[in-house]
Amino acid sequence: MTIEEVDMKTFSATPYGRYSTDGPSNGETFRTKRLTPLLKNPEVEEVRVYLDSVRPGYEYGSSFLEESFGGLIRVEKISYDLIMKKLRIITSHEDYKLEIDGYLKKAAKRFPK
Amino acid sequence: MKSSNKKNQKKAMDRLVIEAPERLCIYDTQTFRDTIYFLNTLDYQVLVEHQCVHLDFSKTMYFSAAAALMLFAKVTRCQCSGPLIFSVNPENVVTASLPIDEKAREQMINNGLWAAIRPGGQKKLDRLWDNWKNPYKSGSNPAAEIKDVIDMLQSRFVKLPNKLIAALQEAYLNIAHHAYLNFKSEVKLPISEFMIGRWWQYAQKNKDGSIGCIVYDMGSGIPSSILSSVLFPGDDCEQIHYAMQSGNSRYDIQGRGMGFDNIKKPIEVNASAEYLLVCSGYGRIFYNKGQESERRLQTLGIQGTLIEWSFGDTEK
Repeated sequence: MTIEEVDMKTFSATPYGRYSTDGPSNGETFRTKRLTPLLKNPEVEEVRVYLDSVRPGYEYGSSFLEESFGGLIRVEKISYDLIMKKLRIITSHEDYKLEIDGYLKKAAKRFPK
Repeated sequence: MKSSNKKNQKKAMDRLVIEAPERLCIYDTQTFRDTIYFLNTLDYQVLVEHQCVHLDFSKTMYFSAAAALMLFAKVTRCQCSGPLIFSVNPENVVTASLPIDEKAREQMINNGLWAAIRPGGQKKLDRLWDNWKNPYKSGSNPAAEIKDVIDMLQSRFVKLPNKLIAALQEAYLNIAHHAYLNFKSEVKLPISEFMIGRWWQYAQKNKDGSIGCIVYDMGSGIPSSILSSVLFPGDDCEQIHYAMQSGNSRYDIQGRGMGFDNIKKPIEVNASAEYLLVCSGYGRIFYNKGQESERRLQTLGIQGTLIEWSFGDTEK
């Protein structure tokens, strides 16, 4: 069992957009390349996502966050319970945690197990 | 300065002269009509009649920030499209002469508008982008441009309003996803490449400490873009109101339609926030303190969407 860390700056200092048509650092790519493989890997016990290593002044847009995290349930069909068990959002901005949790809950409501 | 005006008039002899109104402003009903009529005349003469024009601002006394941004957008679209549509040098498409009124002339020069509308094409837009002292910017690839936008705004404002960067990102995404669908059809127009995703922006801190940030696109507008997704469409204000509600999107895909939550947020979370203005098609809505404070249906459309965030002194 391992703990995996995903530092946003290794993906992008300015994540932007929802789909690949929006640019290379989009939410769909972050989800499929960085989050999903780790969350679906039974050997990985915990996934820690560090949000605060982005460019100073940068703020996450809802499209990136919803596609990255809401898409885990909506698209990847990972259960809400598994995400709650394995995913840790590390940020000093409580509002991002609340926002992500909101997207996960909304997706779980629409796509129950 | 007299000789400069005379020179401009002489230059204008081989082109159509369009006289600008005394007040370029979209906030008041009367000035809104005059301003939009002036901007539409510019568009029509260049893009439809393929006519080089001279904009005569000699009688203009006042420019509002939103109207000045629209002027910048219309002029630069004509300058960049003219060469593609009727094989003219971008330097020749639109020329202009300064206001006679000293205050208006200084306002036009000092706030960067004169440099922003001067003759030139894409290279001029590139130079404007690199000049961080000029608040007029235009882009079409936000994923690559967002880094500069953040740095530019941080350099202009000592304290950037909370959630403004997130709001701008969602505004750019709305433009990319919804505004220019007509240009994305298989039949490419000469100006498609320039227009797809194109936005124009003005962000300025005023002498009194207040901050204004405006984004404008010349796409199909919210009412037109959302029309297919509502069962009983109302007037353009109703359509804008619908688009501003959480979860409403022209796409029936779960997870979409959150963008306007981000766009409203700077007005909800900053104590200095004054209003959010959304003008699109024939409608306009003012939003502040968590609710819609005014809506008005206009007699002329603005041909696209304009979003303005206004703040008082953020350093107080």
